[in-house]
Amino acid sequence: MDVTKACAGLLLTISVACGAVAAEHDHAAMAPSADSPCQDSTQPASLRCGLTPSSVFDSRGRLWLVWVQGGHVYLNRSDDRGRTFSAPVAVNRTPEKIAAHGENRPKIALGPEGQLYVSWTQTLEKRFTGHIRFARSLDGGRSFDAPLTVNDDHAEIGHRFESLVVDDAGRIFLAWLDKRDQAAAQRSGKPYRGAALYYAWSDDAGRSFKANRKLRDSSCECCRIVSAVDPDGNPAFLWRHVFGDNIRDHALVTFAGPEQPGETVRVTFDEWQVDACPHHGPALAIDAQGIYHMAWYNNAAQRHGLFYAFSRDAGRTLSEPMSFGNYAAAAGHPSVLARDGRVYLLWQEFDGAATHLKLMQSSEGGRQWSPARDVAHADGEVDYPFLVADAMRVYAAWQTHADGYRLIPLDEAAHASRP
Amino acid sequence: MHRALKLFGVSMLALSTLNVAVPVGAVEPLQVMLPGRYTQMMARHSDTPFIVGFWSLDCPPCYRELAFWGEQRREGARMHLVLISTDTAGDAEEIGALLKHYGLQDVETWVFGAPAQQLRFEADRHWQGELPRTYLIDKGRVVDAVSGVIDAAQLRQWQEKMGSEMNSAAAK
Repeated sequence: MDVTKACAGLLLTISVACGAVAAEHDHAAMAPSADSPCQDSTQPASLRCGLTPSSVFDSRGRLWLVWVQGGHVYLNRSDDRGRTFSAPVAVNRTPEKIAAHGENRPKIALGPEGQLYVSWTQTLEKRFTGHIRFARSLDGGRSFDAPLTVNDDHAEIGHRFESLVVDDAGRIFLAWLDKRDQAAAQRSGKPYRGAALYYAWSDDAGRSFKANRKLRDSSCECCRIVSAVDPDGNPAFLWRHVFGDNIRDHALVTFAGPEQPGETVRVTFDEWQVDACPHHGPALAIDAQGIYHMAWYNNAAQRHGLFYAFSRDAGRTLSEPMSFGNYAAAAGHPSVLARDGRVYLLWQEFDGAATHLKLMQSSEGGRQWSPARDVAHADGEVDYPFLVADAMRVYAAWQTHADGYRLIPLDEAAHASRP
Repeated sequence: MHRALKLFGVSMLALSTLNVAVPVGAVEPLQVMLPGRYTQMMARHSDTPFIVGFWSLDCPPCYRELAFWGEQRREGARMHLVLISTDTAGDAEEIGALLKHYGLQDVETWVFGAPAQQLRFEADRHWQGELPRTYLIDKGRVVDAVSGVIDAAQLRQWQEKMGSEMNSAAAK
């Protein structure tokens, strides 16, 4: 046995627990590399040692990131597309346990007047419990107000996996997986499948949130929820749901206004009947024409792997789902982005030694696709990949052990020539 | 944090003596799954039908499956079971306590000690990590792979099949 290799392998994993003082660790969590100083918990906060970054460009082309280290969510910024980063600012001044793994990470969204909104799941002592936390900065990220707990049920039960989105009127929406109905059912001895999808919204730039409201019973319990804004300016949420007898397909809800959620519609029909945690949530983008682009993973016997479909009517009907990615290379964790008539699909595959980022593009609204191509690869542990865009280009944002946070330009030529 | 550091210390000490078992206060030591170990484990059990159950602390249905395995063992089911947690060695204490709670402390147990993706790939390249995930194995070959909590009927069917195979082998 090669002891050096074995130790390095173990170090990589254990450093998740050791490097992130109070972060909830997870098999999918990112960890600082074994030969970095990140394992020393007294190290100052840095993106290199941080876990599970989320990133977004503002209208001035500045990239804002949030990530987790040592019981804090940190914010920093890059004004040169990921070459250099500003000093991190702690979003929560008092440390707390923060979910930091593939499916559940801090999120960041921008308000119409430069506000920065950050959300995360605070994990509590008991397994599967948490609170939805929210903090805002009104001074361009120099400081944050004290965090709010958004779930108005403060019981030590599950309120986790939040999704954060700002509508065109600047209203802030948070949706999350909530177990208050499951807990109530348990108390009265009634069966209850999964969790429930709840939401709350704010019309005062995050000073406060309206009362929590249930959108739907029986969501899957451990998959991310994703969100986007439709051309009418309203939010939409897509998540893995439990239909009927443990069928784990996907559901979509759209809104006519902040207090007017529509009926949830089932959008995938792979019939994956399983009493399991897939830990594998979907992806959503809505283009300027109002076409919904969705990507997801399922592992049913007959229909398995990654799929993509679009919908012209907010999920009521879908295009024939297209299978993509190499199922035999564990293709997973898709991201989708639509802009300027182009649709991008990004996902990861594993060849037994390295993880590869794969990209496909469609210039025809998702009807025809380019062949898949490799855009990056890395050995060792990797975080999920995400598509982000500034005014000119689309990028893959990817955190890996080997290289830290990377912003990889995609399709540069196509957009560089635009006026 | 202190717990993590302490466990980190313990497991590194164990590794440095070439013994990767992490003591968890249970009968069967928790072994750390590194690349290549799954293949070795499969080879070691190649002469007997056995079951590999992958699970994790952050998977609610996995607790139901652990309870099911515990029940099966209490009822005296004939099965050779190997449990593999996809958590980290830092979770050893919690894993040990949970297995004990379900009466599974004498089961061969492992915990992931390398990137999950790599270890999953070694076990099954068509498995993307949904849990629990169970493999029913005979003569080193996977007869069935089950995602989600296995049910009693599935297990019985498997046991009957293996039982008749063993009986016919014994008759030869």
